[in-house]
Amino acid sequence: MSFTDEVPSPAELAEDYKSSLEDLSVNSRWEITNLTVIAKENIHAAQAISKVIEEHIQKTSPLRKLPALYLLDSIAKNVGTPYTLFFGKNLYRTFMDSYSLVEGPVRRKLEEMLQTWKQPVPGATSSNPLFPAETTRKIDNALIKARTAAVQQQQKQMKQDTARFGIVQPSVTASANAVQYRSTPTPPTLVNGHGQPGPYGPPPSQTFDARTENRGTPQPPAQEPTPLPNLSQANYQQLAAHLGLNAPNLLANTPTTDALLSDIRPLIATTQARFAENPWDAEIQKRLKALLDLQTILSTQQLPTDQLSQIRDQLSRIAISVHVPAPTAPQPPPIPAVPPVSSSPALPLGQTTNLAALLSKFSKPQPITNIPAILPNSGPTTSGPKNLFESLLSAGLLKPNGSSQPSSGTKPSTTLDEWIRFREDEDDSTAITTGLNQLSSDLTAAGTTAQEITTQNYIPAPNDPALSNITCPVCKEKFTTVWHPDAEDWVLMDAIKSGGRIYHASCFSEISKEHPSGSATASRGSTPENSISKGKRKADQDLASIINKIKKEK
Amino acid sequence: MALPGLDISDSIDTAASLEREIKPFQEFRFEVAPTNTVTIKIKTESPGTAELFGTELSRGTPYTFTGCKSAIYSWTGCTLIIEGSPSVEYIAEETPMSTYLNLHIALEKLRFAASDCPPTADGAQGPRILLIGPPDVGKTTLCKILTGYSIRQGRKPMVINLDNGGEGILSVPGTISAASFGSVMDVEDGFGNSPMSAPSAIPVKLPLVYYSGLETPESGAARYKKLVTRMSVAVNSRLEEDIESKNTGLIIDTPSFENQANGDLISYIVAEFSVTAIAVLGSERLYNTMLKSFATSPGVTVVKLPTSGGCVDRDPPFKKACRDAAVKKYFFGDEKCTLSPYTVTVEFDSPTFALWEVVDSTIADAKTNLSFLPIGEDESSLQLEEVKRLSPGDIDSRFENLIVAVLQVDAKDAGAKEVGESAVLGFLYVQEVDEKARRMKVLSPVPGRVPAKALLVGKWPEGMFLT
Repeated sequence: MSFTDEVPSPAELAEDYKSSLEDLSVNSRWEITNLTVIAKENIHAAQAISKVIEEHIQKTSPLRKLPALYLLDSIAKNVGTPYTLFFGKNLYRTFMDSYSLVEGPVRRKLEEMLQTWKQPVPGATSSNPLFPAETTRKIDNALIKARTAAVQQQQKQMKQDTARFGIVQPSVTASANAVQYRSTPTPPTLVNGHGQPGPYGPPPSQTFDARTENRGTPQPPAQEPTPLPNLSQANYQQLAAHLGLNAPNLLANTPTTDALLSDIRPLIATTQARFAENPWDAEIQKRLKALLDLQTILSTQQLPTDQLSQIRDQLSRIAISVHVPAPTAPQPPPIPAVPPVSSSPALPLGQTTNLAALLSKFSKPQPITNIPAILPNSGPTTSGPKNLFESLLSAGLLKPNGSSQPSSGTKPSTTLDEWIRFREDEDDSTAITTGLNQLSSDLTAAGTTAQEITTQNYIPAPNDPALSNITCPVCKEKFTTVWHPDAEDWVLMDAIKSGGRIYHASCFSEISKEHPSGSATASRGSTPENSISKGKRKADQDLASIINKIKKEK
Repeated sequence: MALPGLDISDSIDTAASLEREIKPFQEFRFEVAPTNTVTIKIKTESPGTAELFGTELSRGTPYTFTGCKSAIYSWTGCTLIIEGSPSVEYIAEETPMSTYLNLHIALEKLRFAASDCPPTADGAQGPRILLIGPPDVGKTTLCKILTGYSIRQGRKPMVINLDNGGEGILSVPGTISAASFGSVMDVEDGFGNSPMSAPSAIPVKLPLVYYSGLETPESGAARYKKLVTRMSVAVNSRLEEDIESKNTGLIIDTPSFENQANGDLISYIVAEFSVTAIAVLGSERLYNTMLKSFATSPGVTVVKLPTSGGCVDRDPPFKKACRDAAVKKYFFGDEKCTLSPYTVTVEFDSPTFALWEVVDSTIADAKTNLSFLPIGEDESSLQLEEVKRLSPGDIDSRFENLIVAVLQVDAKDAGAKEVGESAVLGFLYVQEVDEKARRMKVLSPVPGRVPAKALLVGKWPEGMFLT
């Protein structure tokens, strides 16, 4: 890109910007304006800067998230494009991750900010909202879902408690709830393949504010710290719904077909990814098929509510098993494939790139307990891809009945350009197909160049004695029959077969060369153009068949 | 039913079967003679996993090994069942695996940082690590381990083998090659086979191959450098198109560098591939030399790594046997997939025939005595040729039993420069040279006549009998 040539480079700018972001700790108008102006001046590095800001929002402590989000808001409103585009892409994640980690008053501020995003910028000429409606609607939906889930959970809890104690004990249930909801140690990016937990963990305790708001009895945010592991299912669902992440609105009161469909989609995507990693895992295969079937049913049929809620329950179970976070215990995880990248949590993440420093820190043998998590099982499997063989067969590249054709040998490596373009993870059969095509085109190229050197051209001598004295229809001369060491057969030298007749290769190339000029000067008229062009096409086919035949004879 | 002369019962050896339990962080090391075969599998009932040089073994699948000195490591502990009789087998407790894993994690961290950058930024370039050290310290092994781990993390490392004297990666000996690894490696066969048209259990990896034709880089340093440059250009243009590979970076395996004379070559490789990290195995002296020579270059980090106690000296006959096996495998395949090469006749007088020979500069230097040069000229003005074209009369039986590289340049219009720097299309094996009839019989992996490309014959790997 052109801007990489400029001084300072976007990377350096981003680095500088990052350090100034670190100082943004309070909601100071002056600092935010200042940073907005810097962002405006360095608009050519918009992508890098917006990335830095997003990262900062992700990683910074909950207390500092609000000023950082205000900065995002300020830049989006005062600078506009391209920042709105870059922020808009990840806005949902940026917003929701922060929202889930901050406390009640801040959440209200965030909601207020979200409202302004749906309106056009004050004083701007365009009447478009600041961020596209789809983006903000997604966030709205997630917030609504989280609230519904909270209310429902609370009601359920109250009902249980009522049944257990026989009396309503509002204050006790409230604190019990608070304790239970607060065990949310998992970083918000847990199911996000690319995301990495920031260096600062989420705060040890969080109340679920939507709930407290609805109850009108705000809880003090920090009570006693709860132990980290042992996410219960209820907690996980709560968290998932709360974050509005891939895990769906499992607890929504009335499941709709649309909601279920949108829940299934991420599940299918995740399962497909799993399937790609472990194509031979029958379990995943089965699940994927079931999910796809379910999707078809949901999108084609109208189901009664009770069935929908059954499906929803089933989905919630699958969602949990698919998105199960890596256990902290040393035993291997129950599901073989753990999202690979997010599994090196043992290392603190910094931006240092000094390998020696890293190594000096880590080269002492440490007790490594979570190896299975770091290195997911992707061992080679026993059976080869049979379908590759079949697809080659169906493509006609491997002759099933040709004696030694299927194992015809090591393929020479391909040309430089092809190597640069070659991707292993693309469909293997196509890769091989192109390789083989290349090979066969090499062979035909060898054939055609040899056609110019006419002595190289030969066809097997016909066995029919009547044909032994045939002459070339062009020059009326006989063919020479010789023993060919390559073909290990008697052959007619300098011969080519076309349209059932045998020509001298040199004579044939002459008449076929005449063809383009003949068609160009159509006024000549007398040339039976049609027949020649037909003949030529046939000749091409015949040439290929000859090469094939020679190959088979070998 | 026993057929006379075909005693099948002899070949199936069911008697020798042992069981070895590896504890966590231990390694089972074994050696198998080239004539022998050993089958190893993880006991199905035993918990835990095991890996062979970074690639995890699947449970219950028998793996067959022949002619290798190898090791199976377990982070969790597991039980192996060994059939056949390895010449050496023992369980080692002290391994440098945790250091190697830490190296991998350090690299992974850099890759993570790289994949976070926008694709066009400089930071998107993942770590490029160069592995150097004396012979038999485990350079290629470490290369395999790092490759295996990064594949298991879903990365796509580009592995470059610059060791023209070794067994070759995805190709025959005497070559330097590069390939992008996106899926598991073949545990029985190091890095896996050359791509072939037959079905295989492991996804094919397409290597880019240059034929050096000499045993050491020093004997043809000028041409070796040119090939390295060619390869780095190709690799870089490939990485520009493949962001995943770019984020993952390079893992470069080298020939044995142990003394100062190689310093020039190492700096050349470092410069050409923009290497960011040099890992020195098993030589304190080389490490310090590297530290000094790269002290001024800020982008290059030099780290020292311990060598595994399992590294054993491979004696020349064993290495030769391994090289021969690699060539044989190229033409004939292995037990799992037998290939049948074709015998093709090549006429010397055909216009599409051009055979070139690699010139060993150490011998050529000795011949061109400087005192014979005209006054005022010195060695630099002398254009030393790196490859020379052989006239049909020069081709005699000394080329029998050698391999010939089919290059990508056409036979007709190739000069010494093109031939010297061209990549390889495939290989032929010279079975017989008929000087009188001016033709030779070669083994070809593909049917049909030999393509009208330039052929290049070298001195390495040395002659061998395949049939």
